[in-house]
Amino acid sequence: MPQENDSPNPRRRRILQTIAAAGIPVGLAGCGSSDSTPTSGDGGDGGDGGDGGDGGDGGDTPTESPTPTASATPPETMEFTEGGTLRGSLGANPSSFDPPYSSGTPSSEVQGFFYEALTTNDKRGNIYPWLAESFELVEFQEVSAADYTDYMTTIPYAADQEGNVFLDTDAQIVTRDPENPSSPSEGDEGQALTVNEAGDAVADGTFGMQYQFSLHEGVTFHNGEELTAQNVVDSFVRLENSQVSAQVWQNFLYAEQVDEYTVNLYAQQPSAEALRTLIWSVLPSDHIDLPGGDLDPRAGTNPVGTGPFVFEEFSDSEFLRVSRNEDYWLQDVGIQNKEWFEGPSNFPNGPVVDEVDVSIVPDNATRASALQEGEIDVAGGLNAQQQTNYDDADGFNVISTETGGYLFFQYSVNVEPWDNQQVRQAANHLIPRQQIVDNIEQGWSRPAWTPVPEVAYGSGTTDPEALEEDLRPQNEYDPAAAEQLINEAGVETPIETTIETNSDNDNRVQKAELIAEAMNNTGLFDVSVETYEFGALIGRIFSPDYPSMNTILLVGLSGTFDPGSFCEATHHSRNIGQCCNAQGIEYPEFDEMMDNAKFGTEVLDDVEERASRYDAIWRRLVELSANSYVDIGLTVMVTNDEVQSWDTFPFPGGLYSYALYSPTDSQLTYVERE
Amino acid sequence: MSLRRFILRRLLLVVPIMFGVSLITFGLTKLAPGGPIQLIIGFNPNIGPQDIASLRAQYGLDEPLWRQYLVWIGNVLQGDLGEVIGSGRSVNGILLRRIPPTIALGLFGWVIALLVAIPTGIYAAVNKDQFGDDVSRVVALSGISLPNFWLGLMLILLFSVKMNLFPVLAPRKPLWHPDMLWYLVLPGLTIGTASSATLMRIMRSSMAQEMNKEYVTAARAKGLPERTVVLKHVLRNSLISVATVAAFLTSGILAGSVVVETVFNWPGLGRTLVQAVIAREINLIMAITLFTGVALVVANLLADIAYAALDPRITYD
Repeated sequence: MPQENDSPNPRRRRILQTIAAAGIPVGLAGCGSSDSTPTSGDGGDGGDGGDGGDGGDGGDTPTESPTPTASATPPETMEFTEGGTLRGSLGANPSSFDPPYSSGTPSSEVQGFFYEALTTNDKRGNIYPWLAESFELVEFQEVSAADYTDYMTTIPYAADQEGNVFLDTDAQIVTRDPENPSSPSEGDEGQALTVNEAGDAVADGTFGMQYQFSLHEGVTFHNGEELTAQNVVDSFVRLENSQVSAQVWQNFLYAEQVDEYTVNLYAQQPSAEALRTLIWSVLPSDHIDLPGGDLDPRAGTNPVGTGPFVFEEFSDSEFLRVSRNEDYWLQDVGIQNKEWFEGPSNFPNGPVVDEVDVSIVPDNATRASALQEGEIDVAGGLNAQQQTNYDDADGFNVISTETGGYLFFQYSVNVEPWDNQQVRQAANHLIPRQQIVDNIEQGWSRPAWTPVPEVAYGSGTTDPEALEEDLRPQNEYDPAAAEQLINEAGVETPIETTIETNSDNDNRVQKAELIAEAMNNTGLFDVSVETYEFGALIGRIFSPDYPSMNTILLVGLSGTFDPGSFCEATHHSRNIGQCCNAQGIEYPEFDEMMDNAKFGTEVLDDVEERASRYDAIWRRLVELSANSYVDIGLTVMVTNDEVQSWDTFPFPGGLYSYALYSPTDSQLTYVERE
Repeated sequence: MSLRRFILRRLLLVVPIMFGVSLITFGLTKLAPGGPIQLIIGFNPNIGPQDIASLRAQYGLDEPLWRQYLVWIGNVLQGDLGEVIGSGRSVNGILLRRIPPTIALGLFGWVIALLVAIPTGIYAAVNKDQFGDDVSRVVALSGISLPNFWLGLMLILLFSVKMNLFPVLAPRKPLWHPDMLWYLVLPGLTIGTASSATLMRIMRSSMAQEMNKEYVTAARAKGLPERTVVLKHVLRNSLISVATVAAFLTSGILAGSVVVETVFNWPGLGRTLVQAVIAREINLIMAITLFTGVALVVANLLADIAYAALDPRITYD
């Protein structure tokens, strides 16, 4: 039975309660640095900071290993039951178990059982040393891509059949010369720094940042191999020219073994988000030389990591079974010996369930039935009605966390009359955000009064409430204001356009239709809705002609803990023709604002400064109205009441590994089955 | 023409048919906007032209269409159906794993369809224009009209969730295990319902037509029991048209598997095809289409052979 909406947003209230219960203040944390060591400031507050500050929401990356906060009062002990099997579910088949050769959510989810990295983070994005015992930012300096030109090699441009021109080299490119031709032709030459020369640059002292990680000794992979600094260095080799190489070498420069248990990681430029982008899964020696994609049981190689679960069995498109790693390295180290750990004294040194058995069930109605029937214990990805039904049912728990993503409108800013800012602002006033949340999402999202999800609050705004107070009037449903703006723009009405979205998301299609109706009811617009199957829509929006079409694109964006992820993808000119600047949005002055909020020593050292720069960005972003933000969703998981203490991570892709064992939040799921 | 030559000729026809099917499928898939590379890069703001070009070259997608097709068909002739771009997995391996569950489901649907259609059709024909015939007509019309996805969900809701008679998810047992056969009842019913309704109406009309023929009157005049007349003489002649239609209904069962396998989480070709189309995995789409095409040709061939078994007057020419 649907739950009554007796408050503006009951689910949002519940989320805030959850956060409050965790003892984490919502809002900006204090600056995380107390000494002369420069703070990275990327992503937020530096965890809990060396100053014993007030605890860190906001996903900041610290300059050194965080220590416990003075204000936290963790419970002395916690109750849990050991053993049992958790029967989970996934909505899609993992395409690969090979971390560098997969980017989908189901793949990330299954990889989370086996692989770990030098650091881990809590659900607010704060970073803590994990396989590393500690880390520190050793040095940083103002360096840009141009500073690497002395080390760059000359590479010819080649073109493929579709006319895409690219630097033709087999070596992984680290960065390109900014002076390379902006529209190169086949046969031209360009300069680039590849992995082969990156070490020379570092040796000469040319790098943006240097982090040093001290590894725990005695950490072993599932095959018994001991983790050393060489594994960390080699794991970057496997990332070269992989499916994620563009993300890795966005700012990564070089990995260097100092001794058996110490490794240096270098970033190209000083960036507030550098640490987060330098951290990748660490693989055993056996995995390094495998051809891309071959690290997969379907290709004959079972995943071997340092993680808390060991691979047992996988049946393609059917199920994955993993068991608890009985030789988990943390049992020797002891979670209580992690400096930053502030949880219960009896918090275990690894997950407590014996086995996790994940069924792959693509159809959400079938998944919901299997949960109801008791064949699985956990299900996610259900629709709003199903979630509401389970929320009202006995014997089930619905656990939600605001996700780092939103649904957004992108206007064809290069086509008349959408090149007029007032026209876009008028359309923005005709999005019935509250109605969408109440009626279509049934409270399982919140109106995007600002473009900033809670996960990015830390360094994304100095004051989320003030920001919302400031921006909400510009995002309220207000036909009168829309009419006034259209009159001021002096454009002919009704303005015709088409909202385009993907057909395989019922809620999204309903939202498109509701918005079109709201726009058409004013008589100012004549809007139709076109839906495309997801693959077709992707192909369409990345075609070169798309920015010249008179369309409004309605799609979703999932960001990260980096506040920049909620503006750069949709606005930065370097993302034109890629995700998610499909309409050719280009405002050089806004590009500079976004770059200045992430790169450079000023924001690296000063979280407050970075947050204030983002405040200015959000205000300018709403003023530009090149994109309108509709609603910010929740990540929702439903469990039966045999599953205890489940908590939901804000981003899909790490839901199981986070819920089962995450000491950063004293998170531990266990099963109590009769 | 001997039966052997007939079969050989029909099997040889598979070659041009499959060539045409592959050409059309390849062309249509390539014409559709989007592709696996775009889906891989689609939501990654850091991937630039260099990476896109590299990925395209890696999978030969930078070649002209005609060359891509020739490379593909050349590989197929050598038994290599290619790989899934998104995961690098072999299409041959996927096909080998997915075919048995689909065949099992299809056979189960077939058996259910025949078990329901033939007795009901006989009953309706024998009781033509009576109450039982009217009821069977309504049931048949309903069976044809019910969408697979709705029927499947309703069966799960009623028999699995409410009555707890069947599991929602397939047991992790070999296909021939009794638990698996029990599980297959609901998906088999779902996939067989529309076919059984159609077959039942064909059976009924064919039989009703046969019963008006002179040889039936003669048999009755000779004093043969009605049961013998119907089951021994009329039924055999009526089955010829049923066999014809049944072969065509194989396509319905294969098409239905796309929906039924998704609803029942059955790891067969239908569910894989849906995922392949969404991901624009052309090698997988082509392989499943080819298999489906071959299966249909073989089903029609078997129907032709069945004619001879049912009616010796039929010759192959």
